[in-house]
Amino acid sequence: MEQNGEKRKGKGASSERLSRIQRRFSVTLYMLAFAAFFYPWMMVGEKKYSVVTFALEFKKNGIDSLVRQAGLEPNALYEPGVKINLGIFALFAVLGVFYLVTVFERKNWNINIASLLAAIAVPYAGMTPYMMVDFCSNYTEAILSTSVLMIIAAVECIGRKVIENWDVTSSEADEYHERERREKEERRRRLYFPGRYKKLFYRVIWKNFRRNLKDYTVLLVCNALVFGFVMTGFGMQKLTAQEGAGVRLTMTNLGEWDVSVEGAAELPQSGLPSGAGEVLLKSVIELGAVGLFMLVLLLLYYLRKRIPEYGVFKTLGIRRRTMYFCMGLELGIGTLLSLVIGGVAGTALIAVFQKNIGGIEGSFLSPLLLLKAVAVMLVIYLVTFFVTHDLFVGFRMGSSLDLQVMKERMPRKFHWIVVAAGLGLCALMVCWYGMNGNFENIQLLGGCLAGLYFVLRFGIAGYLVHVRKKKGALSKLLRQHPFYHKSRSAVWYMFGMCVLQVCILAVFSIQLFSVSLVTEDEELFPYDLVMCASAEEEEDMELLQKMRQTDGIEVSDYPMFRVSGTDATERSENNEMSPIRSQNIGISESTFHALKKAQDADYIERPLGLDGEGESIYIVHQQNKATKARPIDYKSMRSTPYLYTGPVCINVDAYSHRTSFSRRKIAGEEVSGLVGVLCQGERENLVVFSDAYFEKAKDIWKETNPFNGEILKPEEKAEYAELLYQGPTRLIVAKADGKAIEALKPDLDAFRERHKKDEEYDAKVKSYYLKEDCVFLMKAELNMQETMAKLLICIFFAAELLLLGIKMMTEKKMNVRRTEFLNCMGMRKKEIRRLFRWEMGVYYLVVAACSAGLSTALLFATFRARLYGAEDIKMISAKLLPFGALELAALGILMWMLTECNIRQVEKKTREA
Amino acid sequence: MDSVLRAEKLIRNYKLPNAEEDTIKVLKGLDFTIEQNEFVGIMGKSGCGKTTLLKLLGLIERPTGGEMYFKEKKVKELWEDELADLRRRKIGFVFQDFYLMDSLTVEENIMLPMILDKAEEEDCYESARGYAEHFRINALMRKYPYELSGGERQRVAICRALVNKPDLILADEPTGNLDSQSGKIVIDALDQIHKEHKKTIIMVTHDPQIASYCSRIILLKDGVILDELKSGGNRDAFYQEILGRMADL
Repeated sequence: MEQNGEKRKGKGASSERLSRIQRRFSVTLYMLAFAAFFYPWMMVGEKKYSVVTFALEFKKNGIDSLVRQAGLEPNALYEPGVKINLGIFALFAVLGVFYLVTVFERKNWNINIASLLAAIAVPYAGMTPYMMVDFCSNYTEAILSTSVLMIIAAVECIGRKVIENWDVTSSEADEYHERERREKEERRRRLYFPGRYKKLFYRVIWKNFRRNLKDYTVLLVCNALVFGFVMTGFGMQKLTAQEGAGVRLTMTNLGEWDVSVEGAAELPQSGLPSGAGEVLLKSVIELGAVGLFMLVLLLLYYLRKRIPEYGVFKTLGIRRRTMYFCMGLELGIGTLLSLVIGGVAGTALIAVFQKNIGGIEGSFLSPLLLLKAVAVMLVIYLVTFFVTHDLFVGFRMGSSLDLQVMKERMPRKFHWIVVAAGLGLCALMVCWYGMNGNFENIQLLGGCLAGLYFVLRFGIAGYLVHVRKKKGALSKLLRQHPFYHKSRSAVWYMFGMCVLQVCILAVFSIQLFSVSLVTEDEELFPYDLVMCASAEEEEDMELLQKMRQTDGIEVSDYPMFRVSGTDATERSENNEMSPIRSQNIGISESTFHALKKAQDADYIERPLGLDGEGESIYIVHQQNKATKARPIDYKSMRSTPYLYTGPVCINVDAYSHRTSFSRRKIAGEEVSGLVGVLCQGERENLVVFSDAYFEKAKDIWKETNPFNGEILKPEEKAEYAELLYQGPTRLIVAKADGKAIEALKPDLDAFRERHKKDEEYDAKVKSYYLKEDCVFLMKAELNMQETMAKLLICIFFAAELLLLGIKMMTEKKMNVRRTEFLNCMGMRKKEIRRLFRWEMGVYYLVVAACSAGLSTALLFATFRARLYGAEDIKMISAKLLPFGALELAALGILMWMLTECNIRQVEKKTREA
Repeated sequence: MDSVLRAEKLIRNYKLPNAEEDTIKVLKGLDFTIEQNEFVGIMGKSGCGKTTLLKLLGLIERPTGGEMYFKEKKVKELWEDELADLRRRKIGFVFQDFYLMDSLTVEENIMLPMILDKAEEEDCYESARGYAEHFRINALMRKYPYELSGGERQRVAICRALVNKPDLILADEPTGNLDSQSGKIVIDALDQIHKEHKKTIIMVTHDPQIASYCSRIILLKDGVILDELKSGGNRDAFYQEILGRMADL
């Protein structure tokens, strides 16, 4: 009894001690929270405010003073916003004080939960527009500071509970540790396996590994190649990012830029490198994709061979850890070696590019670059691992069941309906692919290939089922058996080869040969200097006069205005990114004709079919013919781009309410360098309006809200008067010799300084362009495009052969059994060989027919999308046709050689068996 | 007598790719006991679950349901590495397609279970030589499995199964891939192991002639035990009895 009493006393003392600690903890934290009210974390203009001083300033001088200090645009919503925000702070303070009173009174009313909710509301309110954080120039610090109250309140809530359950928690923790210790001890006792593996063990492991050295080497080389590509990508990026005397091609030229956007609410812009950078980036992605494909294929094949061998070890009782160690060592050493070899290969590749592309100098190797490349490679390995794992498990490749003897399920119904649907899908995708507005979208190509898969899967199944029902089916039984028995695998191999073939014949080939369509510099860049000046700017006009009077400069000027689109990139922006609005040059029909005449004295004017309301436009895509289709507005999809006249309104997108402009109808378009290929069709294209509309449209900016593009109400005009901006209004083009340009450089620098605002939004859009720079960048792009296309063709062709090789190696065992069986059935060697050749012949014919047909359709769609004329098509076809024929012939010959080789190997294995 | 293996309501289901049904029930609740020094045969039609049963008995796979005891230890309660230890030390395997590693010599193949058990190298060589001599394959020690005949390969597999002196030998159609002469050599070897080395043997076979060497036969049909036959000592009579019962399978 006495003992129980003492226990209870002890328990009571302990609970009193914990309650005291709880009280102290809560008071300390809430005092900290209250102190935070006096910490000056808000940077409003030049002045720092705490919550309290901000509230006092608000009370004393009103919201206008704070808005002025913060440099914000006045808005009626700021006052209620600040009131709500301060109200939340006050609520937290009141709840906090009330809570502390209950703590001192030893009441357990859980008021701290209510004050935690109020504290959570503080940062949320902070991020809401028109509230206190909007006034802060130190946005990130402000958000973090508003979170402090939430963190303190949360720590207090959790900490209090932890202290309350301290006794229980610590005893539970003791129990857990004790349980863990016992388990460890039991594990040690039950799995006791002393001693070390002897030399013999390592010899056995090594000999077993050595037998697969050939396959291992192939896997290693493929690994190394992929790492080499990754290294090349990063190396080129590093080289082009170096600013220095000897480096002319920088990443800024290539399109990576820092952008400062007017208006704090704007999200970061979504851009992609352009020119050579874009080609490099896309090629590295394509190489990475095919590398991944090859890695998965090889790893699957390797595992299928190695898993049964490790299976013997497992059956004979090898410890799991030891087995995983051996497997890990095998793959780890391979990975390390491939990184070294790949690093060397990547360095060599970069040297080739440096030589071929020109303009890139300097050293690129650095520990950070290697680290980045290795990190990307690890991600690729991770993806490879998951894909391989899923395939391995999904297809039960590790199963002890002999899957090769199992018949694969064939589609049983709706063959011809699905085939028709697949063909329809292909046709639709090809048709869309041929639209300039769809910018040769890779997803459409994917859709087209998906259609091809359905055609192959259901078409082959339908044909086989049909043939089996007909008379004389038995005579074809042996020939059709491999396709009937393994219909799914057969179609996957055919489809895989078709995908690679279509990439070679329809995508990379046109990248390679379209370079030959690029005309002389004079045609693409008729002027040495192109300036977007302002007629209202006196200094600009003085410069124009000066140029007119300078010897060696032949200058012309035309009226223009900015024409902006809603999206200038093919990237699909997410919520975190804002699309870059495109900026183009708007000219009148008569200016268009004048420019044409200036370029070609024999030019005969013809009406462009434009209307007086600006609904119809004529577009001059200022790009060379090797560049892919680039629509003027990437959100337009079809033939009605959404273009508005005036500088970029950052809040306008394709879904905005529009009043002052509408969708335009393309009355006609062409690809040429009428003023100059200034941005390769990404920006600075020419948009031609009728003369009547041009006169009307050039003043629309005066009536337009510069943020949301809506027509200004009369009462809003004064409010926005200072923010309205017209942008460039005069297009100045000049032919000049090098000396004259050099002499103009100081004036041009001053011109750029005056037009800083025009260049602020998008680093690709400049206030003036020099032919020399544009030609250099275009040549670098073309060189890069040609080099990468050649490399991609070789790699994809190699991947095709690898796929075939793996098909043959995987099916070897089955073919040996088949040969044995056919031998026993009394079939002659010649006949058996003919069977194998027939099977591979079918593969070749299906792949060649499908890829040739689909590639032809896609090529014609590409011609259409790129607006090629009959002469261009004739010229490029003269190169594409022999290339296609040669490629298919090479594939046929190599397939035949592989087949013959495979037949000999199967015969040898059959003899050995 | 202590039991080596005991099964209670043993169930094994599989999920098959392309199968119409989700699972295939291979073993549907088997009850039996294997005593020490028994030579038990398992017979049945193809697909009745013989090999599956052998995999469960060999602790290569775990049962889906029911209980299995290895030397009165509940298999379900053993960890993976404990099962591996049992397979290495207490069980020897002989498979129809030999399961030898082509990258290793005959000698290394025989020594493999000892090597994996961290045995001393001298002991490994000594044991391998001893068994090779016993089964008359000592001239083949430096050769590779692909250089041997089927009968020779199976004798190598038997040596490997015995090298760690296990309590139980599991043989999955050991004569299935052999001609009758090689088959006779192999079954004589197994019989000798049973009688001279006092080992417990469980053998799956289709061949009634080979099955007649066993002391007991478990007849499987559609995943259940149809019957058990016991040898009276006379092999010919037992052979006739097996032949008679095979019609029911």
